[in-house]
Parts: sequence; structure tokens; C-alpha cells
Amino acid sequence: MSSRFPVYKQLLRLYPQPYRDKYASQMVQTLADMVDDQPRRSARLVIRLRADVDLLSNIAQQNIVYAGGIMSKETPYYVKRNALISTGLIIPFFVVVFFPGILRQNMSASAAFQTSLFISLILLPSLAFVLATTTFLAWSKSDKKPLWRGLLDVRRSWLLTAVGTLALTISLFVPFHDSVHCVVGNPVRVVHNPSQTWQCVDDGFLGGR
Amino acid sequence: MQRQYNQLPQVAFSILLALSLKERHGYEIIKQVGDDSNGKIKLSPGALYTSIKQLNEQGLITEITRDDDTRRRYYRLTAKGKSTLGAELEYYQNSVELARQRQVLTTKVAYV
Repeated sequence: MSSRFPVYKQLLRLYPQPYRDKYASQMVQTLADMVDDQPRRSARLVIRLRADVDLLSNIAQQNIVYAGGIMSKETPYYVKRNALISTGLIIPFFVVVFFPGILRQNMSASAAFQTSLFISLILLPSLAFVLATTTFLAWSKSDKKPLWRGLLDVRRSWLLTAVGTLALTISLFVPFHDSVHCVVGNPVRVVHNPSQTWQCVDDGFLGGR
Repeated sequence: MQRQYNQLPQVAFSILLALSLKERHGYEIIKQVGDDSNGKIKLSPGALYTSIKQLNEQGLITEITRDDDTRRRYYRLTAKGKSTLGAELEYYQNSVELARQRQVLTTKVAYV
């Protein structure tokens, strides 16, 4: 049986190590039993293909479960807490971007409206990035490991890394993007090229007139 | 706290039901689940062992090795597994009874 199912065995290597150690040999044995029980060659082929495809979805599922388990057990509490706080700080950004009418309807073009947009689009994502970065630095210091090792330890740090990266991307992207200037002025409007930004300014949304 | 019924996923329930008669190895479970569902549930090894892992962690099944078949691991219901399966079946039985009373049960599934 050792040379059978090479593709299947290669795919099994993508499972988390503990899962593989416990179940991989039995999975191969079960597949062998299933294939051997079929008299027709076409049926055997279908079983093998189905098993390969099915394995791909299960691999993803098990890796997520495993990474989640590792993080919940081995990541310090303050890191998880700060990662969640950072996530919370980014949420208003997505609310404003995807549902711009919410603020617009409630506050019109008042100063409070402009302030709310500034806070949700720029200030909060920047704070999320700062919080994620300082948490990472504190964690590296307490673990006495260099920062790059923490970044590579994805199973323990994936949430903080993901939130920090997203917050950085937003912080870099938002202040310099033409469409955002226009959205700040008029969240209902969609801008596709820089020249329209000037139109926005002309319309008085950004105090151009 | 009152025990919650119908908390098992379909595949997990089918596996427990397949193990209710005797201990079985992976392929025997797959065959029994297929027979029990009239061929509607076709498990592959990936899905089977994902469920087996969860059932094992919940203490509903246990793994055993047999001297007469060292290549395969067998799985058996635990006492907790039996009571969970019993509660689940009771829930389904009550549901079927209710469906009968409300005349929404088709004759096709009336064998329960």
C-alpha cells in the first residue's frame, strides 16, 4: 500500500501535524478499502477523485481550527484583547465606506458630519495600526524574540498581523486617495478619476469655493 | 440546565447511529452510513475523520485497536455517546410524531 495514492498522500501533508499524526494513516487505509471494494475501474477513479477534492476543503477547515486553537491557547490575553480592539476601531471605516448614507442622512454637511468622517476614515484606522504595532512590539519584548520571528509565527499572531496590516493599508491609502477626498465632501458621490476630485472641490464639498 | 436536543450535525448523528450496533473501522462506518441513509449520505475519508475527531474530542466515541486487524483503528460508542444518540433519536421521534399529528408527514418518510 505504500506506493498507492501519491496525490492523496501529498495532500495529507497539508493537514496540521497533530491531525496528520493521528488520522493520516487511517484515512489512507479507508480510501484503500473503498477503492478495493469497487469492481469497476471507473468507479475506483471516481472515488479517488472525490476523495482528493474533498480533502482540499477539509484541509482548509482543519488548518483554521488548528490555528484558532493555537491562538486561543498560546497567545497572551492582552495580545488577543488588543487585536480585537484594533478590529473594532476599523469597523467604522467599513460602515462609512459601504453605507455612506448613514452619516449623510443624519448630519447633512455640518461640521459634525465632517468630523465624524475624519474620525472613522482616518483617525480610528490610524489608532488601530498604532495599537497593533505597539502590542506587537511589547509582545516581542516580553517573549525576548525578534519582531520578524513573531511575524512568522502566523498561528499565534495571525489576527494581530492581519488587523495591523489592514489598518496600515487603510491609513496609507485613505488620506492620499482622490476618491476619499470626494467621499469626505460628498459620500453619496462615486469618483473614478482624479479630475473629478476637482469637480468635487468646485462643488464646494471640500471648501473649494 | 436543561439538555439541548438536536445539537449534532447530520454527519455526526449518522456516524453515531452507524456505531450503535457494533464497533466499526472507517470504511465500515462509511458503508453503514450510506446504507442507513439509502445512499443519500456518501462520506469520503476527509469528511469522516473530521467528524470522528470532533466526536472523539467530545467523548462520544472511543478509538480501539484490535489484534485481529492491526492496520485499522476501530471506533465504538461511549456511554455518553449512547445517551447523546438516544436523546437525539427521541427528539426526532417527537418531531415525527408531531408531523404526523399535523398531517405534514409524507408516506415516503413514514417508516421512522
